Amino acid sequence: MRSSGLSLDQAPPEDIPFRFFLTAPVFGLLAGSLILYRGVIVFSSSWHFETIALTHLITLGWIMMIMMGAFYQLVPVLAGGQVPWIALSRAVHFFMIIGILALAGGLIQISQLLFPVAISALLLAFTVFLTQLLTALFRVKANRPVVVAMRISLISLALAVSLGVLEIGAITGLWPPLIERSIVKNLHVTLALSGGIGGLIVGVGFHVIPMFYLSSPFPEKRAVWILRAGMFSLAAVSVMLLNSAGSALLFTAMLPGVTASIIFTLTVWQMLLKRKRKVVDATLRFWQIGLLAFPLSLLCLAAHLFWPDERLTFAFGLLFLMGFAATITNGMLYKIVPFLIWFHRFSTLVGKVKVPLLKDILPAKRTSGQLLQAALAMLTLLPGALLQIDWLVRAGAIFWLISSGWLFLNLIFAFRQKPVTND
Amino acid sequence: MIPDSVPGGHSIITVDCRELEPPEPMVVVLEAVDKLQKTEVLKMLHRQVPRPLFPLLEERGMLTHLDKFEDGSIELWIWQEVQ
Repeated sequence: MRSSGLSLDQAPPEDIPFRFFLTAPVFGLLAGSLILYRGVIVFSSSWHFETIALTHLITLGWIMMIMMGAFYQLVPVLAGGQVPWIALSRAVHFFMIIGILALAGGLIQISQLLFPVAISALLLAFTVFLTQLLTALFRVKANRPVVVAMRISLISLALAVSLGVLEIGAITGLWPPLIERSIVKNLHVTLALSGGIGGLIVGVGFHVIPMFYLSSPFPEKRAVWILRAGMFSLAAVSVMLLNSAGSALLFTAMLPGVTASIIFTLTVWQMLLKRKRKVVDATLRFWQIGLLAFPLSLLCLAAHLFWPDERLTFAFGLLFLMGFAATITNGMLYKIVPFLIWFHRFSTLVGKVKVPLLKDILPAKRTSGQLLQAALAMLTLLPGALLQIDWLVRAGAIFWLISSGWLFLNLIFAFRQKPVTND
Repeated sequence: MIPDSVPGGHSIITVDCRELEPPEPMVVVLEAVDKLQKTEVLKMLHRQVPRPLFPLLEERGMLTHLDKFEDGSIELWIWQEVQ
């Protein structure tokens, strides 16, 4: 016997997840502005400093902000863990903003002095965040798939951040490089994307798909297998990278993880198709776009092992970060934010006054318009980057800017929903 | 089949929430609870344990009995305490 229900009585104050969620589209606007300003140059080399700045505006500014808000919210409600020193989460948010802005500013060469600021602020933010969440998750006795997935995600993030800091310090001459830069870069990307981002999305997906889309539960044995295969590949690929293994060995190490990702995608797709309530809304489409982009991104990554063409790196980056991670986190905001607003502000009023439903807190016409802009951004940025067409890349940037701004306004609209008082 | 802990002789009002999306199950049940007579018992059918509902039922002074099934679905019986 088990339950996939959410327990909200241990949830954090509403301002904690909301401040992280609301910051994500602001960094989306900064990322879009950088693409619009520099055009196709940001898709010319993955070593280009402006490309690294853009990548981190999306990974740290958008994806990580939503992930942190989600961790603070979901660890108590999905895993039953109590996050300690919860008030410090506001400081984590503040130092994340300082750290990301300083990192991006340093990388686009505003001033070298910004790098030590970035390192200090990001290290502080991640140290507090990881200590809070790992403490909460390792106190939880249950080894349910969602708990295991969250632990994998946090440990991967801890390693990825350490490698990222090593790399910035080496680039800026703060300390000598300990390992070859390409090894650090590949390990950093593997741990951050596959373990950190992939781990959380997969783990949360096990629970939120049945809950929000009225589907059958995710088969538990399959979830366990997916996590084991993913962990095996993550460890094997890391060891291979450290030993500068060849493409064939790396591909073999990746295979169980890629297979697990495809099985996850097919299972969730099937669950969504067989959902009990056949309502089609923007969040469903965000999930479907994300689920299509996920295996395609992995295909590009595998192809890159044998054909080391930089365009495949960009195809992987765009499909994984914008197509999969940013898209699914965007869709989940549209489910989680209205639900939290309803729970915190309206649930105690049921039966006393007429309370709104989720569709009243965030109407469908607002979210479907943004979905279209997000999809157009992907459809223009991808060919623009692959074929190196500057105007197409800049058009994609405009769609991405509109999409980010629209998401921001939608979240503000939802946050303004409060019970009407008759005083 | 009425569980032993649920008072007998009451008329049963069934509320099927299995195809409602959050937070509609809570709204539907709480509205039904507010109209519930002392001679009635509410039977909620849902696909999962409605954890956020329990503090709100407690606040209204309701008594509950929960049956969980292998597929994760539940039957929640709700009635008023008879003084």
